Order: sequence, then structure tokens, then C-alpha cells
Amino acid sequence: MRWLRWAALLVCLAYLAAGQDAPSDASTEDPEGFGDFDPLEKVVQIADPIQPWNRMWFRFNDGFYYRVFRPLARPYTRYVPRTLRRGFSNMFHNFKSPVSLINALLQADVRKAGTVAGRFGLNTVFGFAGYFDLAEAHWGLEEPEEDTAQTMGRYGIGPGFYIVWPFLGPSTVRETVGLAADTFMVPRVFLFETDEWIAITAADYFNENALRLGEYESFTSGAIEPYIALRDAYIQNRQKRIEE
Amino acid sequence: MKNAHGAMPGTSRGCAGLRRQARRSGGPVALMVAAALTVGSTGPDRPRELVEGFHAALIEAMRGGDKAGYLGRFSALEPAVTETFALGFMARRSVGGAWNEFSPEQQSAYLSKYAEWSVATFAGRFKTWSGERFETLSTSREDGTVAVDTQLVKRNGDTVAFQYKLREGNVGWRVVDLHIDGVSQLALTRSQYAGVLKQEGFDGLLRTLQQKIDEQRVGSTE
Repeated sequence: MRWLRWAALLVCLAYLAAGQDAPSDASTEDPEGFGDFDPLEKVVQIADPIQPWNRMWFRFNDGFYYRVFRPLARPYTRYVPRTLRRGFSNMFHNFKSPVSLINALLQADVRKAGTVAGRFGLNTVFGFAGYFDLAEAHWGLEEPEEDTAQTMGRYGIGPGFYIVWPFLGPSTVRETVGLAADTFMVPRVFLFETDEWIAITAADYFNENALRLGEYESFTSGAIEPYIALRDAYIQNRQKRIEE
Repeated sequence: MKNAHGAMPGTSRGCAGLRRQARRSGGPVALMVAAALTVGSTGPDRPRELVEGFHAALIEAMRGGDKAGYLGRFSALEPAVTETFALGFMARRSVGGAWNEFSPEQQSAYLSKYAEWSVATFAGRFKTWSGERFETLSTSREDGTVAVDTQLVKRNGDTVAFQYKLREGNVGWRVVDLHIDGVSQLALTRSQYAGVLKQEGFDGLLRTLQQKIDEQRVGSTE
């Protein structure tokens, strides 16, 4: 029966050769052979029922970025050394530690809560009120950023719909409620007068965004539809942080 | 299209069947054919190797970026992009159901433009080298998809997470999606393309892609 095996092999090879030369309709639809695999089935979508309103504020924020923020941030980043700007950012993050601590506890994540408490203690005492992030540099304690919107997401509360706020940018109903709650977990709200903490918060936003100067224009210039790209990137990024 | 063993030609299962047949028959020709079909398609470390090879090509293009210019980087990166990414699959997923509404000529024109846009994006973004490096952090597998977690380390120490999602198909392993800082680039493409297709139709999509390709070229030579 040796001839039968050889005949079967020849048929198999002819079949392979024919398949490579003349793909069927099915292989035209799926030439890679990935079948029904959909890499996007787990990607979250967001409702955007107030899109005209959102697009208006998107254009406003875009104009604000190019006409106000960038002209101010450029000399700031040129003349203020990066180490100093990073130090300011570390201090602002240190002051916001209660937000991460409370939310880590609300999520019953004792390990993260311990990390936040440890970082706050070490950086406040040995890092000049958090200017130096010694906790990460010397003890390997990376900052776990937790906020109220993430806690809400962990408890199954959906994002609601998409909202763009002036100056603050992309958000959702859940993120907006979470941000309002976070504001009252930061000590500066109670330590300073309203106009003072608004100024401090603005300085925090300015410094933080100046550290990422160039990222916005890089992202939007490469986008085919910047509004949609920013919206979906924001939603995906927030979803990832909830899942982590 | 499936072979006599119920597997796609060129897949490991199809080749395994061929190898079994060759062992039984003892035919040296069949062994050679089976070995040739297996080259470059399998191996547990293949996804990682593919990604690291792509990163090496990116760094190489960046190192010679100034001298080579946009067109030089494009030429250098084109084979790396087409051999690493499942561009046809990604192109079809990017337009979703609209793919079936395209005529064969439109499908062909779109696939070609999508591939050009993909290479142009890398050539436009990775212009010059100033000490950046890629690090491979880990590899994990879930439901046939391998995720290779890497990061781009900038000179100032800042990092950008690059996670490659790979599947094994007829031509071996290919990247089917790239997540940058947790954001699926394929998902971003799909939602943006949907918007353009809805408002401007097929011609508008091709026009927009060509415009983005031109912007990458002009932006790189400024």
C-alpha cells in the first residue's frame, strides 16, 4: 500500500499549491487565517449624545492650548529646569495622597493603601515635603494613582456619557462626579481661601501639562479626526486604570 | 481553505500533518517541503523576536533619520512594518462592515493606501534618535493572542508603554493591534474611519489618508 501513501501525499501537495495560486472566496475575506477573531471586542464605547456641545468646548480648549497655554509653557520649560518642574509635580502629587489613600481603602486594596501611606510618610519627612520622590527612587514604591471615579468604576458604575469641560478637557458623568469628590479630599481646599486654592490648582495643572508639552500636538496632528481620537483614547485610558 | 487534515495550509497543524505523512512514507522530498513550510512561522519566542526585530528596525531608522530623510526612513521601515503587522487584517477591521460594501477595486485601493499610511505614520513619528531605547518587559498569552509588553524609554527617563497583540495565522505570527499607553490604536483608527466614511464616503477616506501621508512627509522635512 506504499503507492497509496505517495498518492495521498501528492494530492495533498497539489491541494496546497492550488490553494496558494488560487485562493477561494473565503480566503479573500480571511487571507491571514485569523477567523472570526476580533481584537476590539473588549474595547469600551462611550455614548456621546451632546456632541455639538462637546465639539464646541473641544475647539475652545484646542484654541486655548495653542494661543494661551503653549506660549506660556514654552518659556517656562525653557528657563525652568526639568528637575525643578518634576520636583513641583512630586510635591503636588504628595499633597494629593489622601485621594489615593481613601480610594484604595474604599476599593479594599490594603496593599495599595499601605504603599500610598508609606510613600506619603517617607517623601514628606525625607523628601522635603515630597519634592524628592525618594520612596520610589530608594524603596521602589511606585505611586498607585487611585481616584473616586476609578472606585465608582470598580463598583460597577458605568461612565455615563462623554462630556468635554472648558479648560479641564475630556470627562464623563462618572469622572465629573469623581473629580468633584476628589477636590474635597485634598487638604489644600481646607487650608487655603478659595481664590488661593484655585490659584494653586491652576499652577498644578500648568506645571503638570508643561511636563507633557508637545504630546497634545503630536497626538492631534497624527489623528484623522482629533475630537474622536481624543475622546476614545481618554475613555480607553480611564478604563485601563479602573481595571488595573 | 482547509487541507486534507482540516487545517489551513501553512498553519502548524497543516504542516504537522504533512510531517507525519512524510515520516510514514519516508519520502525525503516531502520532508524538505514540510520543513520549508515551517520556516519562520512558529516557536514560542517568535512573537517576542518579531517585536524586538521591529524595534531594532525603528531604532536603526531613527539613528539614520536626519541623513536618510523621510523617504529614506519610509523605505527602511516599509519591509519591517509589512512583515510585522497584519496590515490587511487591520485595514479590514478598521472599516468594519463597510469593507463588504467596497467594490474589489476600492478594496484594493484602500488596502494599498492603508499600508502606505501605516508606514508613513512610523516614518513620520520616529524621525531622529536622541538616546531612546525599547525594552521588552514580558510576554503573556490569552485565547491564542500573545501580548508582548514593551516600553519606549526616552533620554530623560520617561517611558511610553507599547503593548503588541499578536496572532498566529497562515503566514506566521503577526501584530494585530498595538496599544500605546493602554490605548488600542486599531480602535482609534476604527472610530475615526467610521466618522470619515459616514460624512465623506469612500473617496473622502482615501483623500484623508493621502492628506495624512502628505502631512507626515511635510512635517518630517520641515
